[in-house]
Amino acid sequence: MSEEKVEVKRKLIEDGKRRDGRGPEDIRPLHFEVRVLKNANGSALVQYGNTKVLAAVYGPRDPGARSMALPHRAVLRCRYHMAPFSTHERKSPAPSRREIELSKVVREALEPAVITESFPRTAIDIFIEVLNADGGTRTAGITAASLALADAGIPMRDLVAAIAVGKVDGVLVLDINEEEDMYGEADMPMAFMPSLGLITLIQLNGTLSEEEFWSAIELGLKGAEKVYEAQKEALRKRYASVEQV
Amino acid sequence: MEEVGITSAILDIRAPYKGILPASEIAGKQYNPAQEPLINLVSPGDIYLAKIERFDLTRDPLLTLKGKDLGRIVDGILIEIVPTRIPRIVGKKKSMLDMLIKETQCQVVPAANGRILIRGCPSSDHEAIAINAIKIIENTPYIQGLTEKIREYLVIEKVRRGLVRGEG
Amino acid sequence: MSITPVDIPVIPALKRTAILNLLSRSQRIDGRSPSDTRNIEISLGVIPNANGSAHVKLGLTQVIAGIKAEIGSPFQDTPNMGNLIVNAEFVPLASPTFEPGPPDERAIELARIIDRSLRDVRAIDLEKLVIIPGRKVWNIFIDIYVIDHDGNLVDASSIATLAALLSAKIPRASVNQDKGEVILDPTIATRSL
Repeated sequence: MSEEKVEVKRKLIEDGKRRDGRGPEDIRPLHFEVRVLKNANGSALVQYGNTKVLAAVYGPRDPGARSMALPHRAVLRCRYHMAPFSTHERKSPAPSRREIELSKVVREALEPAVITESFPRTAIDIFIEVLNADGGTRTAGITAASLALADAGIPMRDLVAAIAVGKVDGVLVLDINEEEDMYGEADMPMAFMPSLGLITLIQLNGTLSEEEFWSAIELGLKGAEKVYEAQKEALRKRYASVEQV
Repeated sequence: MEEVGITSAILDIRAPYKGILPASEIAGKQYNPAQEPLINLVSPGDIYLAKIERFDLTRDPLLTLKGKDLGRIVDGILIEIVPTRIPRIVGKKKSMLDMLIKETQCQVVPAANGRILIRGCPSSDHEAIAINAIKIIENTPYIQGLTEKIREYLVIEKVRRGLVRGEG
Repeated sequence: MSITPVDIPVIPALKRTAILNLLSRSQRIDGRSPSDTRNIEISLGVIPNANGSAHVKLGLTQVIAGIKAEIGSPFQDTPNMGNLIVNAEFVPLASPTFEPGPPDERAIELARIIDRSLRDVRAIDLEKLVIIPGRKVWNIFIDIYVIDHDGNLVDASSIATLAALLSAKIPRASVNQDKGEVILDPTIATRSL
């Protein structure tokens, strides 16, 4: 078993090429589409390579229970969840502790962007479903949720663009996939509001030196800017197409 | 109307907040809930044309029925479009709306929340072309002369359906 | 305990009469005749991590079915048969009336309807799913994910399930006599329908 692991580790990056052929700063192919669902007020389907995530927003709407409302702003309710068929081994549909933690992490990454004061005493519900998991599901989820919020017409300070940076065989790489996450030395998901130059999420799994940490943030920001462009393009495409009827 | 309470009813106004219609608006200033429960006078499912009398961010919007043509709606059909398209349905100086009413011979009442009431049509065909025309306006982007195009559509449809004898 | 639904949006009375009026003239509100179905779109293989998958659009209703095959022990009373497990999730993003939580009565009923539609006609020969009789069999998990509810979830789910099953690929399992199985590259699984 451990022999196999070392063998895999040795080959994660060779001659500057990762196992899937990418260079250290290459993001996987991005496919973003907005308004993919009829019922939700806003929705988005986001793919980073094989990681495929669907996000939907309902609201601002009646919270349903007095205790769930705040008098001066909207409340965000966020649910990150993985479909049973999204992972290599079937996952029970019941929320795991990881999904509960990620629901909180994702909500906190989105809160700074939403202008909640516009809709006091309401709730904005954000649902993220991971349809296929290949690393970076929470960052894809945040990116998708941000698009869904925009699609729902909810006023935002900026879009939130998220991406993860990892360290494999000592090299910092952008947008790690599942294999690189499992066998690498570090995994750092990040979320940014690029126009405002603000960070809304940093988490770190593994170890990075202080210098590596700051380089990783820079690398992450570069990646997030590409994600941001793709988000804006998806919104433009959707609303421009109305002009062609 | 979604819920009927003791002294007011709650209406869905297609917004993040619910509209509150006080019983006094429905049954008059002299209304006494002890004498006649509100639920005897109105029911969930009823539709009203109402105005928002007051709204601030600390309370749900307050509705009123005081005004011309406001009140319970008993006939016609209600359709919903994206609220941002309502100005197109009305048009500059009500030009589009007036044209729709004239050509379809229906009463067309658009509301700011995207709901449109169509009633009093001479036939179900008239109603159908009114609905189709509105759907077309909803899905057509801004172009010059849209009012004319819709008018043409309505005239052609009326001839096709045999509603008029060779007009235009 | 099953309770009359309380969270269904109130249909305006006018809409109700409009629907009934149209029906009395054999028309429906979206222009279809009573015997017209909506447009059906099927995409296969949408979930790379699943053994088989299908995304079905029935009009605006959208359902994804995912098949996961796992090796496990057979049920005690059927030691020489593999197993079919059908689950349906009505995820909250599909409709304002879906709450987060374990499958409610609607989801459970749907799953059981789809299950019966496969089991009773023996759509899958469960005996072919045995690897080591009495010890190891294939458990086929069918997960129905409703992602946009615009009516007729049963038909959409049924089409998605069948499409996913028909296009599913399961690795060929060969038995290492000592204990484990050696899984070779994925090959087409035989499904007798």
